[in-house]
Amino acid sequence: MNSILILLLAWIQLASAESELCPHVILKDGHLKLARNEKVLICGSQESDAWHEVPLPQAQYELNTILQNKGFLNARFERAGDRLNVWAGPLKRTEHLIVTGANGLIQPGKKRKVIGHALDPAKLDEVTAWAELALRRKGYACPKVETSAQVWNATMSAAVEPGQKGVIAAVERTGLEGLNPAAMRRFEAFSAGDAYDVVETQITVSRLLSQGLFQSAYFTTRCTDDKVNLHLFTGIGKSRLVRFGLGASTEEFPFADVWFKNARLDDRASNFTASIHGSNIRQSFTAGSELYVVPGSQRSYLGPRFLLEHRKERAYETNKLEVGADLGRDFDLAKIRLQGRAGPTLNYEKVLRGAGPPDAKYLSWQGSVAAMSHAYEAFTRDQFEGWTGLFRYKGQRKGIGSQVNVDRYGLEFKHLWNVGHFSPPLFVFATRIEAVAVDSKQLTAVDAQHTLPLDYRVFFGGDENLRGFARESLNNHGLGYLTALHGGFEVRLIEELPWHLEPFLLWDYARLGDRRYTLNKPVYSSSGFGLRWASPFGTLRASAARGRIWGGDPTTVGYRQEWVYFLSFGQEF
Amino acid sequence: MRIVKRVLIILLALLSLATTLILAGVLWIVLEPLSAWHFAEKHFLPADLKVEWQEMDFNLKRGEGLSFEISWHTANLKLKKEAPSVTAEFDKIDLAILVLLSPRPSFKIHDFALQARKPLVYHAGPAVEPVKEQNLFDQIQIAFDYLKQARQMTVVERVDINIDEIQAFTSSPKPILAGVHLLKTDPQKPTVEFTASAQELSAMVHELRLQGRAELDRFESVEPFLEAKLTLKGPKLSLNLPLMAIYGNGELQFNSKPEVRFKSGKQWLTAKPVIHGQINAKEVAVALTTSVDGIPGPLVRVRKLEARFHLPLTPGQEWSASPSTFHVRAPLALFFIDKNMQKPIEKSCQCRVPEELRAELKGQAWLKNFMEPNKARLPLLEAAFSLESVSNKLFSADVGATLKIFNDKKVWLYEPAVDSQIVVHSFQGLRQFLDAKNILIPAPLSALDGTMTFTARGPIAMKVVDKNTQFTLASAFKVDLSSKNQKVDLTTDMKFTAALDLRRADVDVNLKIQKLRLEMPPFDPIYGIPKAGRDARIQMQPPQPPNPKGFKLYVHLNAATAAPGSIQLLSKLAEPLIPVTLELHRPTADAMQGSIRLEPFKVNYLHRILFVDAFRLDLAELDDGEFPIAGDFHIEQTDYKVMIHVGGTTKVPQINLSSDPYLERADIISVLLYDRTNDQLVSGDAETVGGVQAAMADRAIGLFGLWAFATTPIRSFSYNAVTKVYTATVALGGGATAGVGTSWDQNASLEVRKRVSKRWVLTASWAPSEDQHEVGKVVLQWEKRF
Repeated sequence: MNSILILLLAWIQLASAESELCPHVILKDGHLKLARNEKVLICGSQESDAWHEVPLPQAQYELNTILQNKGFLNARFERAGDRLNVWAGPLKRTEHLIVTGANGLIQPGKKRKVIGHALDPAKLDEVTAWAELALRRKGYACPKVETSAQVWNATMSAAVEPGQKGVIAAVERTGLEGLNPAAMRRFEAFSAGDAYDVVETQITVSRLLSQGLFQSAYFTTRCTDDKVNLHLFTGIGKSRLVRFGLGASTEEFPFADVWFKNARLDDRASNFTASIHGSNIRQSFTAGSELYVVPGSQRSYLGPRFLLEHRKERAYETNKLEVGADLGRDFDLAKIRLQGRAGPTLNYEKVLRGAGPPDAKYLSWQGSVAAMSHAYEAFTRDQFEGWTGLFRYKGQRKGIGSQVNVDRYGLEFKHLWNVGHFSPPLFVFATRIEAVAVDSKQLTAVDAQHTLPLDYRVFFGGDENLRGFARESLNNHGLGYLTALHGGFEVRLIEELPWHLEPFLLWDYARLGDRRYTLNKPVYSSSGFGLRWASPFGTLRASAARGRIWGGDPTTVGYRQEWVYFLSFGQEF
Repeated sequence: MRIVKRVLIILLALLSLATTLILAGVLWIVLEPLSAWHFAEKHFLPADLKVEWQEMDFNLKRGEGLSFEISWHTANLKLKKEAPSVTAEFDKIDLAILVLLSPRPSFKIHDFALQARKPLVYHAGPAVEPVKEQNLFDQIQIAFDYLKQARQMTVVERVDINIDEIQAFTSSPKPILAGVHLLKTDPQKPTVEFTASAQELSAMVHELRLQGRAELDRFESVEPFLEAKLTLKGPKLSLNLPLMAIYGNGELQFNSKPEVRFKSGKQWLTAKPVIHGQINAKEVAVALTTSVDGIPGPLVRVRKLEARFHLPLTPGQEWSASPSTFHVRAPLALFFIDKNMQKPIEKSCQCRVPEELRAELKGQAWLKNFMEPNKARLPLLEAAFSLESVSNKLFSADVGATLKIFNDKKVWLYEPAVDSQIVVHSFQGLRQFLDAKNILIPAPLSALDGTMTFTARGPIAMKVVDKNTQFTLASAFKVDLSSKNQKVDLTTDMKFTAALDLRRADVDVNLKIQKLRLEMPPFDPIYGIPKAGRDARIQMQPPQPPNPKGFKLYVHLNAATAAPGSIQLLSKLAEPLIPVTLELHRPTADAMQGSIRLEPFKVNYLHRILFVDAFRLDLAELDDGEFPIAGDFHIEQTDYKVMIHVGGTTKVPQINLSSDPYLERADIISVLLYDRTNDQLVSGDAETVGGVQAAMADRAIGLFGLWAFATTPIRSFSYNAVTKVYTATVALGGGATAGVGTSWDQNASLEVRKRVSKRWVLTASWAPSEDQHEVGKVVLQWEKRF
C-alpha cells in the first residue's frame, strides 16, 4: 500500500514538475522537447554572436508558435525578471470533423485518430492526405482538398473539390531503352478505359522494381476533363546484376548467397536468374528463367527451372535435384492479380535421414494458380485489407520414374477485413483457410507411405498454421498427414498502442487425416494472443498460444498440449 | 404771455384727456378683462399666438396714495404659438403686485406663482442668426444693469415657478426633456433658489442638472451673487461643476473646481481643473490648472496642465479685432520608465533619465475672423507646440511644431510645419528599455548598437481632396547600427499623408539600404527549419467583417539596395556570405512589384559545395503566397558539372537538370546524389534515384527540399507516390546518418539500408515469397551491375 502511495506521489510530482527549456525559459506544466533548431530560436546559440542571446519577448513568440503548432493553443506566459515562465495549457483536441463538397465520396465518420486528438497542423496534413487518397482511389485523379481548423468550436474542416471522375485514357512510357512497350502491360495493374485508381499505379511500379527490370519507375498523372493520362518514367540499368550476400533469417543463421540475374534477355524482358545459397540447413543452386517467347502473347511465358539442393531439417535430411519447365501467365482482372504456371518436373530425391524413399527418380507435374486482390497487393506490409488465394497441384504417375500414383492438391485462402472500413482500421479481422489433400489409392497402408516423397507429406504446427503447437510437431509420427483442413482467425487492434504496436487475439482450428480425403476425429485448436510490430525493416510478431486437442485418439498420443511461444521476423498471419 | 397761457391750457386739456383715456382703459380692463384681452390679442399680440383660459380674475384695487394693488389669477391657461411652435398649459398663474406711482414708480411683487404640470412643448423653427452688436461683457453688463434697475424698481417677495416638463423638439431625433423650478419664499431675504434639469440634450449629454441660488442684492458686492452646481452626464462625459460668480466694479469674476471625466476608448480620463476667470470691459481672461489621469497614451502621462486664455474685448463689438492668446503648459511624465528600470537605464546610458518633459502650446486666435467670415484672407490661428529639449547619452529630442490657419472666403487654409529631431544614441539602451516593456526587438537585431535619427522639418503640405483636407508631412529616418559581425546602414524618406477626419493615413516610405549585414540563425538544416508562424489553416477566431469606419493605415513602400548585394546574410553554410539585392515597390496595399535577387555565392554543407549562380524571386504575387522564381545553381562532382535551373513558382517549382558532359536526368540525379551514374549504382541506390525523380515529378520536393538534395549527401530515399510522402536519410559524416521527411521537420524512422562501403550494403528486407510464406532476413550484400 505504501509503495503504491509513493508511486502515486512520484507520478504526481513528475506530472507537475517544471522543466527548464533554457536557463531563462521554464515550462511550468506539461512536457516539451525542442528540436535543435527550435532551441536556437528560443535559447540562442553559442555559435553566433548575434544569436548568442535571444530576447525573452522573441523567445515567447517563438515558443508560442511551436506550442500552437503542437496543438497547445492557449499557452500562457509570465515574465518574472529575466525569466520567462510558460504554461503550455491543455492540448486542444478536435471534437468535430466536417467534409464539404465530397458528395458522399468520403465519409468523415470513417476517419479515425482525428476526433479527440490534437488539433494541430500534422493532423490537418493527415486529413488532407486521407481525403486525397480516398478520392484518388475512386477515380478522381486530381482532387483539390483544403483543410482548416476552427478552434472556437474545435472543428476540422476539409473543403473538397473532387473534380471529374476519370478513366485512364492513355499510358505513355519513357525510358524503356529498347524494350517492347507491349511487354509492360503484364506489369500494369490497370488497362486503358479502367477507372483511375492511384493504388494501381503504385502496384505497377512495385512490380516493375521488384522484377529488377528497372532501377527506378514512377508515374505522373495529367487530368483532362474525364480523361486521365498516365506517363510512366523508367530508369533502366545494365541488364546483368550480380549480388553476394552474407546474412541471417528466421530460418537460417548464418547464410551466404550469390545471386545473378539478367533482367533483359530480349526486348520482351525475358529474364534469367541463378543463385547459390549456403547455410547450415540448406545448400542449393537454383536457376530459372521466364522466356516470353510464346507467339502472340506478351503475358505468357516459358519457364525452365533447375534446382539442386541439400537440406538438413530436424526431421529429415535430403538431396534433391529438380529439372522442369512451366508454361505460365500473369494477368489482372477486375482488380485481381492472377498468376498461373504449370509444367513437368524431373525429380531426383535421396532421403538421407527420415521417412521417405531413400532414392527416388520420378517425373511430376506441378502447377499453381494464385490470385491476389489489388488491395492486398498494395498494402501488403500493412495487412489491413484484401485477400489472397493459392491453388497448388503436384502429381506424379507410376511408371514414369515413379513408384506410385500420387496427387497433392493444396488450397490456401486469406482474407483481411477492415471492420467498419475505418481509416486507419480499428480492428482487422483476419481469416485464413487451408485445405490439403494427397490422393493415392496405394497409400492405404502405412508402409506405402514410406515411399512417398517428402513434398507429399503434410506437417502441421507452427506460426504458419497452428500456433499452439511447435513447428511441424503434428507430423503423424514423422510420416506426415495426407489430408488437412485448417482455419485460422485473428482480431488485431490497430494504432491504439504507441510505437505502432498491434495486439491481437488468435484462434486456430485444424483437423488432420492420415488417409486420403479423410479427416480424423481429433480437432486441434490454438487460442492465445500476440503482438505485432510493423517496423520499418519488416514485421516482428510475437505470439503465445495454448494448443488443445479435442477428441484425441491414438494418433494424437505424444502430441503436447501446452503454451507455445513464437517470435518471428517477416512472418505475417 | 397769452400764447403761453393758451398752450398751457391745451396741454392741460390734453393731459386731462389722456388721464381720462388711461383711467377709462384701466377701468375697461378691470371691468371687461375678456374684451380687453380680445382687443389686445387682435391688435397688439402676434397673430399666431392663441391664448385660452378657463378661469381668470383680474382685480385692481386702489391703495394708499397713488398706489394700486393688482391681483391676477388664471387657471388652466392654454397658450399656443406657431413658428416657433409653443404649446403650454398652465394649471394656474397667480400674480399679486403693488404698483406705486409715487414718489417714484416701483413695483412690489407680493406673490408670483406659476404652475405647469402638463408638458410645455416647444418646436424649434429654422435657426435665426441673432444680430449682436455687443460683446460678451456688453451683454453681461446689460443684463446686470437691467437686473439692478429692476431691483431698484421692483421688490419681489415670493416667487414660485414650477414647470414640471418642457419638451423641446430640435434638429436632434429625440426631444429634449427639461424642467424648471424657481423659488423665493422669504420676503425678507433676497435669495432665489433655482433648479433646472434637462435630459437627452445630445448624443454626448444625456442628463443636465443646474441647481443653485442667486442673491439678488449682491450685484455690486465682493460677495458672490451666484452659487450653482452644474452636473452633466453622458455615455462618454461626466461633469460636476460648482460655480461661484461675483459681480462688482464692472467686472464679473467666476471660480470653479469642476471634475471632468471623459471616456476615451475603454479608459475614463479624469481632470479636476481649477478655473478662475474674469470678464470686464477690456478682456475675458481664464486661467486653468488641472491634472489629467488615465490618458492611455503609450508614452506619456499628463500630471499637471496649466492653461491661460486671454480674449480682448472692444465695446460695441461682439468680437475684438485683436487676437486672443492662449498658453498651455504641461509637464509630460515619462511614466513608461518604471522606477526599477530607471537605474539600469541610467547606468547603461550613463545619463539621467528625466522624469518629466515640459510641453508647451501657445499662440493666438482671431475669434472675430472665426465668427465673422470675411472675403479677404484673414488669420484665424497661430499656434506653436514645443517639447523641452532633452539630450543625454541615451537619446536627444527636439520636438516642435507650428500651425497657422487662415480664413479665405470661408475656406480654412492650414499652414502647419514641424521642426523636430529625435536621436537615439544608444540602440542597446532602447532595446533594454523596450525589452523590459515586452516590446520585441528580435535577434539578430538585438545584438546591434548605434544610433537612429528621426528628423521631421519643414512645412506640412495641405490640400483639399474630395472636400476633405489632407496634410502631408515629410520626414527622414536614418539608422546606423552595428555589432561584431553585423551592420545596418539605412536611410529612409517618409511622407505621411492623412485626412483631417483621420479615417485613413498613407505613408510613403522610400528605404535605401546602404548596407544590411545580419547573421542568420545557426540552423542545421537536417534538424528541420522551425515554422516562422502559426499555421494559417488553424483559425483561432471566427472571421470578423472588416470595419469600414475604422482608421486604416496604408504603407507604400519603395525599398532598394544601394548596390547589388548590399544585403549580406551571414551563415556558416554560405561562403563567404549570402549577398542579396532587393528592389521592392509596393504602391498599394495589395500590389507589390520588384524582386529579391541572390548574387553568386557558395553553400558548403556536409562536405558538398553548391554554387548559387543566380536566383531571383519576383515579388509580383500570382496567387496567395505564390511568387515566380528563376534560379541557376551548379554542383561540381568528380567528373561532371550538374546544372540545376529552377523556374515556375514558389509553390510549384519546375526543376530542370542538365550536365556537362551530357547525362540523362536519372543519371544527373544519380551523380547528384552518389557522384556516379545510374548504371554504377546498386539497386537500392537506384531506387533512391527513382524516388527522387518521382518526387520531383510530383512536385513533392519543394524549394527547400531541392536545396537539401543539392547540398546534402542523400543516402537513401523512399517516396510513396500514393501519399506523396518521402523519407530520406542524409549522411552526416563519420558514418552517422539522419532521417528527414517531406516536411523536413520529422526525423525519419529507422534506416532500411545501411551502406557499409561503396558497394557493400546492409539491408533488412522482407517480401512475400512465391509460396506465400513471408520470410524476413538481414543481409550484408555486395552488388554490381554489368
